[in-house]
Amino acid sequence: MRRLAGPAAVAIAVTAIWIGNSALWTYNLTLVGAYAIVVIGLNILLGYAGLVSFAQTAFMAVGGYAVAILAVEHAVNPWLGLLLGLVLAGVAAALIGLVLFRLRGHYLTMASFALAMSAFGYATAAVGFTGGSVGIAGVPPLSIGSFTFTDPSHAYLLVWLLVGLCAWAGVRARDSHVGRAWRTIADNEDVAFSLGLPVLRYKIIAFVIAAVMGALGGALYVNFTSYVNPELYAPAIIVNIFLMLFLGGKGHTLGPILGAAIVVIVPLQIAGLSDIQAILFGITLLVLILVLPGGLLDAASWRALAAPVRRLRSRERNAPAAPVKALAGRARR
Amino acid sequence: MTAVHTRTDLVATGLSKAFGGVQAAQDVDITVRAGAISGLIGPNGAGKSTVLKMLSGFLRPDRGTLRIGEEDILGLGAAHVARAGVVTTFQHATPIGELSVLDNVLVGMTRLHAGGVLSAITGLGPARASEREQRREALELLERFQLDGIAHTQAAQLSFGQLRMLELLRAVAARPKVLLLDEPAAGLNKVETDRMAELIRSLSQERGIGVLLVDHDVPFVFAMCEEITVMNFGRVIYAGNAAEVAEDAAVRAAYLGQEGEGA
Amino acid sequence: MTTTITLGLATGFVYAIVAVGYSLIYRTTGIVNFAQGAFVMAGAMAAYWFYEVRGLPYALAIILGVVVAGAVGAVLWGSIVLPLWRRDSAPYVVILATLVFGDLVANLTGETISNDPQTLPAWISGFRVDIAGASIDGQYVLVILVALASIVATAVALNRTSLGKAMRACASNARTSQLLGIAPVRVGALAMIGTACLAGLAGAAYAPARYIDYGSALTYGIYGFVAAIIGGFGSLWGALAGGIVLGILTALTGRYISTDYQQVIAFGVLIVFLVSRPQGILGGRLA
Repeated sequence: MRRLAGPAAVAIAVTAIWIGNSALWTYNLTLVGAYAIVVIGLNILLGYAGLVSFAQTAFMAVGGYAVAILAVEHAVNPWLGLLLGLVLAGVAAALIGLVLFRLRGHYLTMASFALAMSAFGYATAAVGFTGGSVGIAGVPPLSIGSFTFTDPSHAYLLVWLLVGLCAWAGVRARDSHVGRAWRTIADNEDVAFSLGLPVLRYKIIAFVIAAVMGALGGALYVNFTSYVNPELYAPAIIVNIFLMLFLGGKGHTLGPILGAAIVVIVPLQIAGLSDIQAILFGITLLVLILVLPGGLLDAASWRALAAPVRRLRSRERNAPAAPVKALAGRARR
Repeated sequence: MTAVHTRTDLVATGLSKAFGGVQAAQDVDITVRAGAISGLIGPNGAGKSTVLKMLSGFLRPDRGTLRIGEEDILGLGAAHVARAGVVTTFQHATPIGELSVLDNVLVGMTRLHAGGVLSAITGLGPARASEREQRREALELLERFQLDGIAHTQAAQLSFGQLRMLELLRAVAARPKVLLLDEPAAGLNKVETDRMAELIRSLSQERGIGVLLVDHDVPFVFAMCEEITVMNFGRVIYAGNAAEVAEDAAVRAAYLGQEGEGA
Repeated sequence: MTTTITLGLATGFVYAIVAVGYSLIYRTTGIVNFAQGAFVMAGAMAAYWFYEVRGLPYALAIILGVVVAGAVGAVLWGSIVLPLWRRDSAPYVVILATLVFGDLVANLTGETISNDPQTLPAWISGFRVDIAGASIDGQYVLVILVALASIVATAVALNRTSLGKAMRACASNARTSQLLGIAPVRVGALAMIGTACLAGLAGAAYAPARYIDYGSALTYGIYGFVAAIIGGFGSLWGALAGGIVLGILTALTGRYISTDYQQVIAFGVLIVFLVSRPQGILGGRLA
């Protein structure tokens, strides 16, 4: 079933057009798609390789500003701008990773956060280069020949095709020897070392993949909305990306898509309800974090939730102690 | 003993390590001969785990030499040491629960896998063939030791004894020249211990792997090992075969003196 | 220049209080609480509400502001941190939860009290200080004094009182402390509520000097954390050192370069520290 995740995402997306067939829904779902790509990248980095990094928005910014600056200031073809943005993000990630992954645990997390905040700060400050807080408008849409992706449903298809591609790539990576290496590193780095795995290299690979996907999502977003500004990469977004991953469930293939959908769509839906929608959303999030620690797609979390009910129903039966307990000694770095 | 060191002996001399003011290990000589099983024993706090960490590259010795065959591996770091052919297992069971038994064994073979991440994702290039081959080899390894029945079982479902064996097989999959085993039979019952012993013996004989058993279980070590090194207070107090070791006065003092504290 | 330095020092001391909160909570529970900045904001905004909206006497309003900050800490502890802590949740889940909580508190404040920046009356009206020929708003000095007193009091409490010693014991080893009859849960709660109160007080002291608004929660939370790492995470005096350094650095940047670059410089410095000297100026430890 897992192998079909990519095509499934595409199928769902295409169906959704026909179900909704409203311009507004198409627009919003395209935004969801762009974010989903970013979160798929984070899922690979955090969900598979266990590396807590807040830096996705920094790479989103690289993609977004690359497209904007190259297309608007230098009349570069948007596709080329996109490609360059991806390359730039990948190279930057490889170089940064060499330094970053000497850090562990909270220090690594904070360094990645500092990276994201620096990107945000720089985007705001470097008025001459990035347009400052005003940003850059008029980013031309992507086009193939005379076929431009201005029509929402065309952009929608493009974005979701790419979502499917990224999801597929993620699953392929996860099921390969690289994915197994990531899992080992996430579980217990010492074991990885003891088997001769080049741990740093595998971490950087995950980081580069996440960065490229982050840049892709960021670039698509900017291309689609034709506007880039620093607020797209503000602290709130940093947190939101994480929430998207968490809500969907880290390590799950469709998690990023579900999470992106929730975080983008729900606030829009309840915006009309009342002024305190942000507060309601925040409370709901907290409850979800407490109640479903593995995310919405995590079967174990739901089972744990239902456990008190099950216990009430069945008689006490001594369940054999799960062998999982044998797997003690997880070196959490 | 002026024995001839063959290409894949692990030879350490004069290993020393101090932490703060405490000399955890001092001038430790130890040799793990290819195809033979050696033991390292000693009371709690004798410095065994310090020596193990130095041999496996997790700890950098203050002084000493460490070679495998002709290759100098002193202070190189655990991954390097592993690539030179010295693989360690750990006290706690460390297979990855979410992966199947087969996948866990494959983890051991990762460094020998051909193809990078792009090859793995796209299916182009050497990764696909390498994956097929490794799967075959891993399955053969499991078959050899009658574990192929659980090849596709999630490791989290295994019993503790099976987990320990899986860990050992994973280490073997990495094609080591030398295996450093940290209390491989700890927590196993009699039947499981016998199976583990048999597994270790077969591996050593069939593949010419030099094995070092670091353990508290003295009878187990005596039964398995041709050569035994005994440590106390950070130093080697005796090295010889099982019978000699059992007779030596210093060894008896070390253990009798510690009796009741749990060997 | 003198004004800038004084402003930097005052702001830096508020960062230091937040940093102390981070370090103390981390040392007693192993948790990094990213809602720490929310306590500063809560104390100040609550004091504002009690004084301006409810018309209570100023001193009382400040005290109640501190109480509210402490209450927020108690809520955070009881409803979020404790359950996650008990479950031994992954660190990033706790980080996420505290971030969301801090954001929630900020939004709640914005909704219920005010969305606009607010200020409070000076504690001593007309109080100005002459330093190096420049006349400076005395409130800055008061902020520094209050914050300094708080830090010293905390240091004394940790070293001299039995509760303080219990905290230090928990910091080294929660399990052993439990065996010794010290309740890590109670100690953790105390750490959170206590640092929340101190942060609230700092906020109430700072608001008359500049202003405070609901967005301050995030700003203080972030900068406080940066200060903690720069100074040495987990160390009380490290928090002070980091706060001062960061406060002056951002003030100077704001004055002589531009306020836009404050964040970039602050995080640039953080990255430099993380890469070259993660244990900070005074040597801390963040496992």
